[in-house]
Amino acid sequence: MKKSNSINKLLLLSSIAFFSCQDVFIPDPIDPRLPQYTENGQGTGGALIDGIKWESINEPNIFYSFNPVSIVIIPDKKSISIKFTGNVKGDPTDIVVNLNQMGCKTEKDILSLVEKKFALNNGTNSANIERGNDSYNPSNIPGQIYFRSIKSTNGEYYDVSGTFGFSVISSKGKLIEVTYGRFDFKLCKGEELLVR
Amino acid sequence: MCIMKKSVFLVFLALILYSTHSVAQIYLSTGLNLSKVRDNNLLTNKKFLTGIQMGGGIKYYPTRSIPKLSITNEVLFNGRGYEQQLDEKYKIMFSYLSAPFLLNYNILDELAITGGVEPSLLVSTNLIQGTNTYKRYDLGLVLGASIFDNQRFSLYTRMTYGVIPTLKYEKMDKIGNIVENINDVKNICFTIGFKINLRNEKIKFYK
Repeated sequence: MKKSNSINKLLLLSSIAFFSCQDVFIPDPIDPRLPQYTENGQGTGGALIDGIKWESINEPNIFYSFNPVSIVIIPDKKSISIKFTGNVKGDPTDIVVNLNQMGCKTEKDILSLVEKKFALNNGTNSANIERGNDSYNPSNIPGQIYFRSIKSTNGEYYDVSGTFGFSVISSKGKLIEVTYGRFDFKLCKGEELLVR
Repeated sequence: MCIMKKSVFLVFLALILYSTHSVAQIYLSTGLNLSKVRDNNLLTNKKFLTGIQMGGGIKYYPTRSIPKLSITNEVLFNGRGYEQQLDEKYKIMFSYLSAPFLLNYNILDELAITGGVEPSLLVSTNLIQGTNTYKRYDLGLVLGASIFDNQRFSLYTRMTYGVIPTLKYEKMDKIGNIVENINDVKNICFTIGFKINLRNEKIKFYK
């Protein structure tokens, strides 16, 4: 019990919650459905799921708890779990990425991810969609998450920006592509925001 | 916006009444732009967008030896852009302040052909931080024609063919790799409009 509490506390302490100060959706000049790729903690994320616009939700509302978008570092597994909460045409749709054996033990270790690309759905790392009661399985088509920029700002935040893309297979056997994904969030350091 | 349109209309109406006895070389103009962009297979499902062109100009005759040749300097507001039909319609609108420099040659008494260059400054867009996304300067080649230039009212049409890429951006593949730095997206604009001549005096640089 004590060990479990200790692990939970470590999980909490090492979790980093995204939050936004001023979310500004700057449209991409090639595909205006998506936010432009930025590296200044803009508080936006977007992708196309099966060719349809997915956008991150970074504010609390009746469907989501506070800090809906998060990175959780799991020290004992040296792993990272990233959850991008969002919607497709108003339907809550989350994107979850699990990166295993990363070597990350504390929140500071997140800085080691900068400029690194991680293959997804390759047996080690995984990416999936969570949408209502629908279930999806990873496909064997290579995917990727790319942490292009991670900056520590004001000693209080990390601005984390990157891109991603992967494929999953629906319960009906349909291949669903998550493409042109990008994110740019301000991560808040601090125990008061550790709600997960 | 409605008040602005009314104001512009009233100003034009006043100028028309004021200039009932004038015919020539200083003029105001207004027209309809039909614009789009051209690119190297970068933007999908592009369509034309309508906008307005309005401003004024001065026309002068630089040489006695070629009396049919005249030069025009204008200052214009140009509403341009394009539309993308994706999940829904996305209108991308640019407001340019343009200063075309045009040569006119009268092939008939009442018909002149026009050609020249049109440097433009991007003043605003309907996109958040659009003036940071797109280049502030544009340059177009102009080809057109006008009729009844020596009358109080004249008509003109022109095509402006942008020669400078307006977008410098990173293009990424489906899974997020940067595949190339693009320098693309050039304006194209067709305009049809009319001019109101305010002065009945030919401005010549010779005696």
